[in-house]
Amino acid sequence: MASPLATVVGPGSQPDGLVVEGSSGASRGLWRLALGAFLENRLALVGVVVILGMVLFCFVGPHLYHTDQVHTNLIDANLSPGPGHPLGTDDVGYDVLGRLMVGGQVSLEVGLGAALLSSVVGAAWGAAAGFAGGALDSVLMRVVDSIYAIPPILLVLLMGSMFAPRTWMFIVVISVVSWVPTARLVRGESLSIRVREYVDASRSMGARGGWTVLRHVIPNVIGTIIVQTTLQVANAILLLATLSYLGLGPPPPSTSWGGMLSGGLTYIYDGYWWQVYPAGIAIVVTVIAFSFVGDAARDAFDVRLQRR
Amino acid sequence: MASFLVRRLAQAVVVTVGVTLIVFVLIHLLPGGPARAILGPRATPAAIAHFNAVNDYNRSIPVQYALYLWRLVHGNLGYSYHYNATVAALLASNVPKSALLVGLAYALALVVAVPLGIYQAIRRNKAGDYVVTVFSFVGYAMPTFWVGMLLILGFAITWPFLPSEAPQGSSVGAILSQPQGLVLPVVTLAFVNFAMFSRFMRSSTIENLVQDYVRTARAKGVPPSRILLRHLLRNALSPIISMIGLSLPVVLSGAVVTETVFNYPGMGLLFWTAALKQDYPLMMGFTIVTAVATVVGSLVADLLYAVVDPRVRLG
Amino acid sequence: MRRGSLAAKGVALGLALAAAGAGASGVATASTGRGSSGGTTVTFAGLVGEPPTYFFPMYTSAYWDTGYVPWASYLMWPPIYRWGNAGRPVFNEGISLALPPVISTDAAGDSVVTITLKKRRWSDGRPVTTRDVEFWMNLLRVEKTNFAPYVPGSFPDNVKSVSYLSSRTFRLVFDKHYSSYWLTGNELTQITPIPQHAWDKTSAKGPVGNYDLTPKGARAVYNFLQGQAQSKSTFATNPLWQVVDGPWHITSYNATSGEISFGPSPTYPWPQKQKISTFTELPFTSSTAEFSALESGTIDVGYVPLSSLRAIPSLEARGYKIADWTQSAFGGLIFQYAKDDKAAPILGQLYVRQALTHLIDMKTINDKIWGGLASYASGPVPNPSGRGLYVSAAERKDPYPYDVQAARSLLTSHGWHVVPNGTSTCERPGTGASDCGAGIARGAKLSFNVIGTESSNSEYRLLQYLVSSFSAVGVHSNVKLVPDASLASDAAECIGKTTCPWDMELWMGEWPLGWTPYVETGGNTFACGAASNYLSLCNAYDDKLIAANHSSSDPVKALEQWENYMVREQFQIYLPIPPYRVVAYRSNLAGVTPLDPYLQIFPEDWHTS
Repeated sequence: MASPLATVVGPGSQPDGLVVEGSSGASRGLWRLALGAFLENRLALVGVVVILGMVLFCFVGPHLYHTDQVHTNLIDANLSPGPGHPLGTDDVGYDVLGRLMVGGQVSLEVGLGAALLSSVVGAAWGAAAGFAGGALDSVLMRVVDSIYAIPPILLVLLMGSMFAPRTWMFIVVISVVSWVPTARLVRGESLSIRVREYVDASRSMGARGGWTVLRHVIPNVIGTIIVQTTLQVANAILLLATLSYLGLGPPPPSTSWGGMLSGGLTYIYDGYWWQVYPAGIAIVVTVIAFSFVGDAARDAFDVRLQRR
Repeated sequence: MASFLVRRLAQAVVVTVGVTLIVFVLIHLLPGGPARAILGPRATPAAIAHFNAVNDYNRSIPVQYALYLWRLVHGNLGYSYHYNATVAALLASNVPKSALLVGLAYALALVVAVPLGIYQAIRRNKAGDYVVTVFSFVGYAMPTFWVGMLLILGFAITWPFLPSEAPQGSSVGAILSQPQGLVLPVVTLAFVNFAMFSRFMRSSTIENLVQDYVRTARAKGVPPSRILLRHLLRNALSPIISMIGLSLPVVLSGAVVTETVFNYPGMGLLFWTAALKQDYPLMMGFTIVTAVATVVGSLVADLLYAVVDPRVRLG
Repeated sequence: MRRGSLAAKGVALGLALAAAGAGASGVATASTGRGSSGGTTVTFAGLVGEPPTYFFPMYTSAYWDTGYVPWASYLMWPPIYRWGNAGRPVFNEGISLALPPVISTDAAGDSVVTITLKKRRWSDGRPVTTRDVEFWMNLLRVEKTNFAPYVPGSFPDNVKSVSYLSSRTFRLVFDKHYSSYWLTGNELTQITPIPQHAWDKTSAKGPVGNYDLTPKGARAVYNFLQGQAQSKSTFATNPLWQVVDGPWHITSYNATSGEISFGPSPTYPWPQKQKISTFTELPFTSSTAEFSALESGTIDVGYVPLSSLRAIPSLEARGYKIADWTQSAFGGLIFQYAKDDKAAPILGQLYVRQALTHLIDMKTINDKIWGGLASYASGPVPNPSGRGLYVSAAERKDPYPYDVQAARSLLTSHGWHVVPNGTSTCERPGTGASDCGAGIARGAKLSFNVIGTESSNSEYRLLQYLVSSFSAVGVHSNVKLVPDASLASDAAECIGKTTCPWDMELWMGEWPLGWTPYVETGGNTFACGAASNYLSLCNAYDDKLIAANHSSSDPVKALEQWENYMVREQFQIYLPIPPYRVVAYRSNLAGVTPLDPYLQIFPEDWHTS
């Protein structure tokens, strides 16, 4: 299971029920400041380049490097790297380099999809709770606490065995376990924004609650949401890998990097290194790239706060 | 403070009940149902009906849930057919073993991560900081099962001086009597959690370094080593303690994979077997233990946070 | 590595984990040393993840597949009739508790079976009598739904009356005429004498009586015994369980780990003098652990995981012999015919099933996935190692051998627009000879929901192979992966329902002892409405042939007719069956082989040489 780096290392990771004093404001100038700070961060640039490279590799690569990723070929299984198969073949004869591309498509799609979905749901939920306050806040946050207290692996396992494994299903299942930290963070921030005058002001002017949330709260926590989304991509890719290890991954003939890795580990003692390391390294590199970007984004928004 | 405690305790109870409700409903929505899973594919409809009647699985889910809570309050966690044993007995024998694994892994991760995190903060953006950063990111980015398998390959196969399997003892004592078998599982779980701790330690130390009290101490000529120990460590450690509490469910999940890789006879392995066998009472037992641990963990975390950090008000 | 499963199947990581044995498991030491007067202890590797937790001979389904029940139970309380002889799936008169049944027909034409018990004694010296059989029958009558092998309408429902003629002879009158094969293979094998003189009581302290003679009393006795059987901590000490008529009795049991030891029963007529003095089953939670223990020499009889077969030479060099343990079982890709299922009309067409079978290369599967160790029969009567019982000539051949072109023309000639690697669609709906067939609309797709597993590497490769092979003629598979432990319950999910979430399931089946009948007649698996009819198959002609299997006076001919029909129809695709285990045993241990195709073990035959 993924480390909860994104879960607990986010900004303002205060536990529920507590509010750290002081919060943010927003203006165009500060956005530019944040972008500048981000661009200064070399690791972040490396991360962006790696991510773009991976996307190109997985989605454009198959158009340049043609392999049969549908039909198995048991006769040519487990070939070591050589002419025709630069990274060898796997245990049913798929070309590993080509497999890395199609597997990466699934991993990236699920990673990005789950991150976006969980951020949208988490942000909406957290903003609603934080802005509404009172009883509704309590109810919403107890739901968050309850889901948080269930081990992600249990939830993923239960839902994984309930639904047919399509890409959207993996996105939904992983989102269910990853929206919670975002909801908490956004709720914490919107709670403090709520008490700020301009919200009070807009309320006194008769704006409806939902409008206020959208108009003021969301823009103020957008930094947090961006950071969370980036880090959740990394988490989702790792969770998908764990699912494959537990035997609940994407079904044949599709695969994911995690599926390739866990399949290859069966043969780790046979010296079929090409079935293990390419997929494993792809996961590690991609996850690190997203973490770099997420970290840099956080630093950038921190700068924004510090120079306020 | 007292009213805060009471409120948090009430919340804790609500959350625990909420967890049982969510998991209970999810489990009972699983296709197939427990009777088929336990009785096997050759069970006749008569046998299934009989089994459902005996185990109340023929009642509606709300009634079943109420019955479950009623038994829970009376200390009855249910019975596992797979093990021909009560869930309470199974948990009693496996929870301590998992606590040992998770505890040792936490300890190891902290012992390594806290000094390294402080070191990184002090040497911020220097070579040392980068090296540790890369190391912790790799630890975070590697799937747990791969870390475990690589350790097995390295230290049990290529240089065979550690067993590839955890000790199979039936008690904590029996496991401790074969400490060499604990090394790889503990290192695996520690490694994947190390990133979280070291990153957190680094950022909280950096935050503290610019605080007024450190500046004041420096201005007063307090030696740097003393500032580090007296002020920084104390102020940086409390959030890490609270983070331990908060990270429990995720770490327990990680322990499921680690226990599966190393065949460690703890709660995670028990849970995984139960999940495969759709052993509902045992799955619920695991859920309750984890939920209670999490709720208690975050309660303690809140309290510590509130006690130590004067900026926090109890909201 | 896919470790979804804790079962031993091909999941194992392999290789010589020589060092791993060092601290791998806190198992007892084992020695098959010399057969000195002190006796010999033989250690046997138990089923991975399935330590024995229960062994009451009237076992419920709840413990059947989980606790590995019949295995341990048969060592202590064997049924009167036993099958499996010298590695062949045949009746074993020698170890049966009774003389072969005398089967006749009464005036009404119903079957009458007269059974005479051999002179056997319980381990406390008391003789085994028909009273012990009566005791069993009385408990069974009131608690039949709790007895796992019970199928409504079959034994004991089909027994009109039982008369106990003497202390050793009893007579069963059945409700109609039954095939003698079916009676001895499937019905009489359930009768298990249990010690009435020790077990006929309703509380631990209470006296032994004749409680079983009334239904209420029988129920009370059953509940008492069942309660005792749930007390794992007293397995080795409870005096009830020490009264056995089988070769073994429990000498120790570890309730936490499941390690169990047996000692020889003094009253059992042992086949040879140099018998082993202690038989210990060691529990393992993973095949890795089991294999490291084997590598380090901790166990005398163990298993080599399929993925570690290359370690065999080193095992042989260290004094182990290797044997394949083939099983009497069938498995493969099962189809769903539930009445309202969307895919059922398509799969109901013989030409579709023929085409699908033509797409599968059985030899490649055996060679590349099962290492050439698998047994193949193209029908439901198993053919373990080619030594199957009553396997017809047709079943020994693949009726629709690998031929993609043939598959393609079968589809095109029945009105399908074949789109290789896509999804073929029906273009000529209708019921004519060159149309798609009844119930198939224009535009219907050759697209199926398939269940398979990723937990076992070999089965996952097989699944990938099937999906890929089918795509050659545009048969599209929507695969859902489940942990292999839930394959069985997923297969059974649709019994008695009119729709089903899956159209095909790849289930190679790992059949615990007692799951398959000794003589496969289809009565439990392919008859309309049968308890284990996972296919929801309702075919009148099939039912007629199955009925003949149960009642014909020429059972061999009836069975052959049914087999030939099943082979032709391919209601499911029968795939090569891998060995249950590849067994490694110490070369100085005689009698382990030939291994039993019904997966029983006979440690009473083992001796050191």
